[in-house]
Amino acid sequence: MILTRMRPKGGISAPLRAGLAAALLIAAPAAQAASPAAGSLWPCIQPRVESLAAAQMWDGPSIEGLDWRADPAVGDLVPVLAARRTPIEDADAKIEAFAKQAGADKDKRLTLLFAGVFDQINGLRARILTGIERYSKHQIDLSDRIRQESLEVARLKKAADSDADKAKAADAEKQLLWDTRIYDTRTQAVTAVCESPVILEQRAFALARAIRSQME
Amino acid sequence: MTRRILLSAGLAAAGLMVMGETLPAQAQVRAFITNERDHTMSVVDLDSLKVIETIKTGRRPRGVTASPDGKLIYVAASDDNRVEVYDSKTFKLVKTLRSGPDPELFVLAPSGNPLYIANEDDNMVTVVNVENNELVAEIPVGVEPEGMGVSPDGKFLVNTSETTNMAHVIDTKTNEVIENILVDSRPRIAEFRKDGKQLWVSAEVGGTVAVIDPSNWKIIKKISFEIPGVNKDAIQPVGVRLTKDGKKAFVALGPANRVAVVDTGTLEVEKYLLVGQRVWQLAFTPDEKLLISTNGNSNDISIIDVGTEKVTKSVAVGRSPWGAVVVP
Repeated sequence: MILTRMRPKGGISAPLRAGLAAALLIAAPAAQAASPAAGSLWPCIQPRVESLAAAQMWDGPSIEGLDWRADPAVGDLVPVLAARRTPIEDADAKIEAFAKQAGADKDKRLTLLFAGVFDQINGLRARILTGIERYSKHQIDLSDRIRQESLEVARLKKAADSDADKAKAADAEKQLLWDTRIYDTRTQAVTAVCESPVILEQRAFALARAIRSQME
Repeated sequence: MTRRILLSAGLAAAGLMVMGETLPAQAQVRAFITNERDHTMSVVDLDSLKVIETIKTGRRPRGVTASPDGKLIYVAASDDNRVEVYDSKTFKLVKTLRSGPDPELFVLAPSGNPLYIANEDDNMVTVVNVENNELVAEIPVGVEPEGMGVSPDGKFLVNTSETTNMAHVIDTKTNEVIENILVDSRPRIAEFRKDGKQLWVSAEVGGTVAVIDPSNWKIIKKISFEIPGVNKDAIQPVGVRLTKDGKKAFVALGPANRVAVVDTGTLEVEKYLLVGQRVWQLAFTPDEKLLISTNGNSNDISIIDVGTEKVTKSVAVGRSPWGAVVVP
């Protein structure tokens, strides 16, 4: 398959990357459609990991079954920490401030805070994975179209006798060029697209570490 | 230079008098961390735990080691097909050495010469004289050679091949393979215990570490790792380091983000320490009070207090930190 393990050249700027991540989210359907064979659309060099494991970033008390939304202060802070627009230094400061006023149940509440952050980031990440596969599907469809178009252009050019036919062939060729250009641009963006889950995992890990460091 | 040494001595004396006074730059214990994705090497002062220099290296620096006296730092610049040698105090490039194609990991003979280099792309171990850059030997091994370990007496060199799943034992006198030991999938690192009585080989995909008896090259035990809540696939042993007294081994477990502490007598895992993301290689400080881990995905190193077996701090370095070495 054309899309598997491609390695586009060149980097993608940070704003573009952020835009792509947003686009991936918007593109993701509300309800998860039954996907084709698991992983068959996955275009990234990074292995497709369905969901993050809390134990990979947390050696504190278990977060299983915790209702983090039950603590209003935690409920307010979680989305702020999880949001990528919050610089990690600011997140660290907010975690520290939260720990300072957390009272006697500090460790419990910090565990709740991690439960919330983990839950949110993992959810976001799952939606991005679906988005990446849609992106990949579009590329595969486009490459099929390009193949058809190139055959058509060859056929038209060969058969072109009149000026009208030649113009038709030229038009088809123009369309082919455009589609190829779009395909190439999107291929180059795959690296950045594939980085999104990694960036989220890094964020979850950094937040887990910051929260854990405030515990006794 | 003389003035510098005198000044250092003076300051060191003053430092002794005023407890906690920082020593001059020359006396710092420094960690050298290769950053695979940045094509740089971070120098971390292990007293202040600050990055004091970022050295621009050749492309894709991975393996890193130091001369026995700690004066020279050897770096495998994988994509430039050479070994670079840096002065550990001035951080200047002193010379480059031949390496064969795609050098990934290497090991110096205990005497400091020659350098044994694994060539990932061409199934060879290249042996280079570090004094005059002469090619001493090219030893054919398995597919995708990677880990390199040398016995404390320098007599045996062990190379692991990722695809062949073997540890190849090479007699350093004849430079010939004398034994092939089948281990688990994708062996990464070979490390001898300082008394020469155990050889540890990590298998990244197999998820195990084989402990081998060098008297007959038979496997004594395969250690496996279990971390509650962490998927088996994520437990990928890579870096291995053993203490000088031979009692403890530390094993970096890749995307499990943990370092396992293993008793080398019972060969049982005692503890798992949460470090950073995708922990790769490990390095002790010369006094073995601290162990450094490189964490490729969180772009930092973790500092482990060996005595208490606790992670005390993380220090941000470049992107995709890979190898580490510490010099006095």
